[in-house]
Amino acid sequence: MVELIIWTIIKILFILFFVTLPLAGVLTVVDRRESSMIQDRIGPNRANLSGDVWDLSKRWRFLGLLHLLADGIKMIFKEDYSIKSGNRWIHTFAPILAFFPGLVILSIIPFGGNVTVFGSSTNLQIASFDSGMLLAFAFSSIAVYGITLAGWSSNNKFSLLGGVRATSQMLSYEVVLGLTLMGIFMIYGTLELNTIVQGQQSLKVDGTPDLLFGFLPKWGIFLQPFAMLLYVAAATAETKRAPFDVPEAESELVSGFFTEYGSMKMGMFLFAEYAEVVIFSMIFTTLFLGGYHVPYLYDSGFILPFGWGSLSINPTLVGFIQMLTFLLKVIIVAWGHLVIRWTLPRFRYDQVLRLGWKMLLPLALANIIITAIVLSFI
Amino acid sequence: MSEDNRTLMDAGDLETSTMHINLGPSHPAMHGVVRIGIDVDGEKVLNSDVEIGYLHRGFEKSAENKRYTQVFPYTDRLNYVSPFLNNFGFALAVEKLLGIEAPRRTQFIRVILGEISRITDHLTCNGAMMMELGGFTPYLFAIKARERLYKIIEKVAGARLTVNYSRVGGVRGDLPENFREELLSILKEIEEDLKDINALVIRNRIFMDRLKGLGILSKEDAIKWGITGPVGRASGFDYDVRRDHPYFVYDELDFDIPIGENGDNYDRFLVRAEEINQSIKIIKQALDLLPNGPIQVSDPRIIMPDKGKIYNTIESMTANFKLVIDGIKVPAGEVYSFTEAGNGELGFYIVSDGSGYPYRVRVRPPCFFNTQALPNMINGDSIGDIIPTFGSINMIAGELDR
Repeated sequence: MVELIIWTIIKILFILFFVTLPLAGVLTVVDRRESSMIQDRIGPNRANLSGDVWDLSKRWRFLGLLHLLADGIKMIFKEDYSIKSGNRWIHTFAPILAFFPGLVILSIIPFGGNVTVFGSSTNLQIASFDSGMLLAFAFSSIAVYGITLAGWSSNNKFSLLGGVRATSQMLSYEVVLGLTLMGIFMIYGTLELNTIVQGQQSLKVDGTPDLLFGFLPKWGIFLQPFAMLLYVAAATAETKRAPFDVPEAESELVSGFFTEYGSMKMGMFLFAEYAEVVIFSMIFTTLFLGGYHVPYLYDSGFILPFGWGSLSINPTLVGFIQMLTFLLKVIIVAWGHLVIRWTLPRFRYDQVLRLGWKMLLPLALANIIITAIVLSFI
Repeated sequence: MSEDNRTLMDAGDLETSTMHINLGPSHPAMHGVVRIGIDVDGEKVLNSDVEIGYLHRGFEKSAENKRYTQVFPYTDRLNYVSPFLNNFGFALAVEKLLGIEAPRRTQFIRVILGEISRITDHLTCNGAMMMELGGFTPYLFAIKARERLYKIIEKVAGARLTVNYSRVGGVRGDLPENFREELLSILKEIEEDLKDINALVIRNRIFMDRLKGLGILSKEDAIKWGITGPVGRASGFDYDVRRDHPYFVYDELDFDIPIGENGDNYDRFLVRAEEINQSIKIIKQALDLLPNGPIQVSDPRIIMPDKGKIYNTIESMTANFKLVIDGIKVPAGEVYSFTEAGNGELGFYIVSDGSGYPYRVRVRPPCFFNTQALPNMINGDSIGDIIPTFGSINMIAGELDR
């Protein structure tokens, strides 16, 4: 029991303070660097440690990563403005409500295989629920309240419109989001994420690899490619990033639901967006990219297809390789997710809803039906 | 999706009330210089009221207290994204009143620089439109292309924006060395930039859905409102001063006038995009035809002599003295001179009483007429559509409020 508690605390600290929050922070800078490269700009290069402002060659800039620190310090030391009209308590509470429920989703994500340290063995997953993804859906719904209350309590017409837009958009896309994943749940027969990951790359009863067409691992991306596209669209809308950023469309609604926010309260909304990107990437990796699996690497070592041979590796080493693989996949997915923002223009509010209800929802339903038919014949 | 693009979701039996929202002047899309008060039902705009005048600086009144040459810096600040066009428009008006014509080389220089300004104007307008629709990357590509032109403008005029390059009866200085080669290579780069921009937006489904069928201005309305330029042409009003009332040497050059069909935002975007190509075509022709010769008329009552002459000959010194103290004595009379500026017909109405100061200057700012029609174009659309519609009429407050 003590062992379980210690493991759980270690895992929580690791996934929260060593993976998600630092990655979300770095993503804020990556987003700026990346956009500057796409757009032929220099990008963030002012923050430096050396104090020599003028000589570019003497600055220690660390690829602009110091901007993360500078922005954080700026946000924290700005005046913590609280509105005079409107509801102050809800106004203060809303960013917290928007930020933290998303982090709970981290508890169900398997970020590595089974590892053994000092004779104590554990699965690298904080909590294993049978309800699995349902918990993720439930907690991502709670974030809607934060946005809605932020828009409503600000007593600002732009905030109100932004809040209304965000609410209807997030509610609409939750339906689509759930339905796009139904195919995955049907194929792997479970909602529990670790079981899904194991199902994506497993050995048959006779010890041979369970592969698609003899060489493809049974990852979600190969079994449900169409659902993957729908999921990316729906999840982008759910995280309110471009081209679905109508709730904060800066040219229309100034800053949407967080127009009346300043200092770290606004910082929390901005940070929540990047934390959501990380969580989205984790779920995407888990469901569609084989989670922590390296292709052809099983618990006992590599088993290559077409009988090309095999290589046995220490199981604990495999566990750590898998953990690093998971992080690498998450980073790549998050990076790809950021590119979308700088490529596409923004939808209009009603077009977003029309896309969700009239196109993505029927397509997701069709995907479920086709998957069901195919599954019934196998 | 485009046929029901204008229909917004109806609240049905639910009881709704309208809300009044002030867009601007402190609003990201309103440039800080205009206010649109809108009554909305949900997201649908029921009524709108455009309030202008936030950038009124009294250009017309100021011009009455300046000598003709001194007015040029003020014209830079009318449409500040295409300063050359205003410069040359005013110069042409005064020249008409004087009854003189600028030397042939000057006229070609004016065409070339004017078209460069037209390109910067259209790049800015289309770029801003893309940015306000969330396309920040194509916007920066457009600004990058514009920057190339600003570099060469700086070489010619010494300033990027406030060029103050034209003079009555000529231009201030000759073109720099290697101007032709540099400009041609820049135009080649710009054509590459335009390819990038067009690849990102022109056939982009989101972009088309945001623009098509919205902010419609019919041809009849365009004529009734007095709208000219790209906005009028996008509505099908086939009128371009360069072709219909040629000035400078436009009648010797071969170019097409793009005409839109639907008069919606997408047409206005495409018309501007095509006008950039036509301007490049005009510049290339004019560079081939550019003759050698003087760049100013040789009349000492209009153009200041060389500094060397001023210091060494009594006639030139007198001419200099008279020009500085009295200014150019323009014969009494009045003139309405109009040119095709970035936004349409830019008119200068000048009344002269024979002194060195204009008695009255009145500008016909093309985007004033565009802005008049704005409420009709945005009523019935949603809040999100105000932004591209407002962007597509290219309201430049310096010109609008004067």
